[in-house]
Amino acid sequence: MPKGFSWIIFSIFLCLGICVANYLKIYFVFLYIATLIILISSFLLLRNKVFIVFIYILAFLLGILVSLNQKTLPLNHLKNLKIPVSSKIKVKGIILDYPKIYNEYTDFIFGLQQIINRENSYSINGKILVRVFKKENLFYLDNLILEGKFYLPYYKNYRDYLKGKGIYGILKVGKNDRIIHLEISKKNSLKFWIYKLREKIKELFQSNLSSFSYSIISAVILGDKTKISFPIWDAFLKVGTVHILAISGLHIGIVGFISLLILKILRIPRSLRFLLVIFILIIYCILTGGASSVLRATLMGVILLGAKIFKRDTDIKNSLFLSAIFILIFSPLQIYQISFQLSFLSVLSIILIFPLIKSLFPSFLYKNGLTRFLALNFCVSICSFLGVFPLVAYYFKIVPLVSILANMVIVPYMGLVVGVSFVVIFSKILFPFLLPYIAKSCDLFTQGLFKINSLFLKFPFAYYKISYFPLHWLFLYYAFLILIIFLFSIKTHLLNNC
Amino acid sequence: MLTLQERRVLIFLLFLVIFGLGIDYLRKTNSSLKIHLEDFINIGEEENKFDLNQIDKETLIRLPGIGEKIAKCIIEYRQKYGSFTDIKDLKKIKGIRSSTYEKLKDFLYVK
Repeated sequence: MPKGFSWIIFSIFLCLGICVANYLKIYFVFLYIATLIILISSFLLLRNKVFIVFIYILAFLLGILVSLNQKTLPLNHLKNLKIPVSSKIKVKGIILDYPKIYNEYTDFIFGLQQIINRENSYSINGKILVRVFKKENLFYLDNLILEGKFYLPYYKNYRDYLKGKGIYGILKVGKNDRIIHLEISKKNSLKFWIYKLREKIKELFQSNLSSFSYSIISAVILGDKTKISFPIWDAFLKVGTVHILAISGLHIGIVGFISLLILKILRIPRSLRFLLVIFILIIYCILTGGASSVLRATLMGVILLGAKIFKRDTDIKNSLFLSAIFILIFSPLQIYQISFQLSFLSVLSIILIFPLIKSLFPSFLYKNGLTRFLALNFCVSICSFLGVFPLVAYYFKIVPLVSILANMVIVPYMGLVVGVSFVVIFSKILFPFLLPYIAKSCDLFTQGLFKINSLFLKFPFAYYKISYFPLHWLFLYYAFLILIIFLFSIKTHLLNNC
Repeated sequence: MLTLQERRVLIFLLFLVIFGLGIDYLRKTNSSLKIHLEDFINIGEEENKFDLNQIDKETLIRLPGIGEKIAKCIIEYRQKYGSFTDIKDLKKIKGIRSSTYEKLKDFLYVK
């Protein structure tokens, strides 16, 4: 995009609008009319210099509108029904995500369609978290009638987390409550086909890997974290490497790279190749459940590949902010979700701070292959730490001091584990006779991952627990960081002009 | 600066988003609510009721019309007077109006 307009400023105004909407008491209709007037004015001022200013005002108003619209629920929405807690209800609906199977219960998000009694049914709206306390074959997109007790999430943080996902209640289905399976409706859709593929991959991992490796690999490849035990999760959290257990840009990058490589070997024309990779990335995003970090990375990938198809300049900053704009317009409350904040902030800090940190090291380090790898790796690791550690301290009350060093080793190593895991999948199709041996290697690499992480955990002062991290410190820190980045960019600009 | 064509595309995209937003808002606000909730829920069964002299603060807060403050007052009342002798004693708690009491009496009992 040429100078004068920036997606960065656009997204900042959009975010401001979303946040301001919390404190505004204004009718949607009035604001909507004002937005339409600004929209028409900006159309009339298409050739004028103030056009850009109008676009930023529109971004701000759009932020408020999407936020107000998200909070406006239909009258027949679950929240408006005000169902008393612990009352027994019978509802009809559809399973909207991959059911998470734990030892004692199964969790899934249920899209409500009707509330039912003996004689009548009434059409209702909304999503509910269902917890089933009995063994039952439940699948994504299943159409069900459920009986159970209605509850509200007790803890405020958990309530807000669920609210961010559009979930306003919990239905507990006990051992004696009935579950009726209705006719299969959407089983021929692409979504269902992807779900079947996911189940096949799961089976493949489960039958060929040890239970420990299966728990890690199904998290990092399929986004299913239900099998990871707490001690393992805690060990990664304390070292500051827990992010590798969530699917992110690293995984999307590997999927994109492998797909591009295969399509290139097959001599597919350039534009078609990029188009196919976009399709593959979208399928992978759905396959993994579309968590915030996956969505962010997939959108960035799609934007970058789209730019290549249309032969436009690619800019990683623009693609990051554009993906944020897409996500926030669709789901503005995501701005308050920890996963969204950490995912965007870590990538943004790497993009913005990297040139500054890189310039601190002598240039000869970047000439030799090994020193270059180590230095660049260290730069990325320190950038990511500087970008997210106050947020981690604020939310999780922990400062993982060893994380810079640990990420330097574990992130590249994780690339290897993810790569080998995809080879396991492809070997099932291309050379199944080699599968047991490749799976054994994958097993070994995964166990190595945990061993390396445990080594870092044994370091003295590996992590520091804090009781409280004030919010104003958080803002002060980021203001200071922005100031340093700003001063550095001015210095670089002046040096380049000289 | 943006080219004229890019400006047109940008405005068109913003128009689509804002237009769609308006449609979505209209759809939501024009839905109707003619439900008699009492016909669809099953409250007041013994298994759903809680003993007012045993119930803890966490469970209290989950009941309709009870927030952190009222729950605290109920617990304090129990500590001060030993126990509730009648469900109607709830009305003595500051913050519990008759409308709240009507909602609560289906969930609580006194042995």
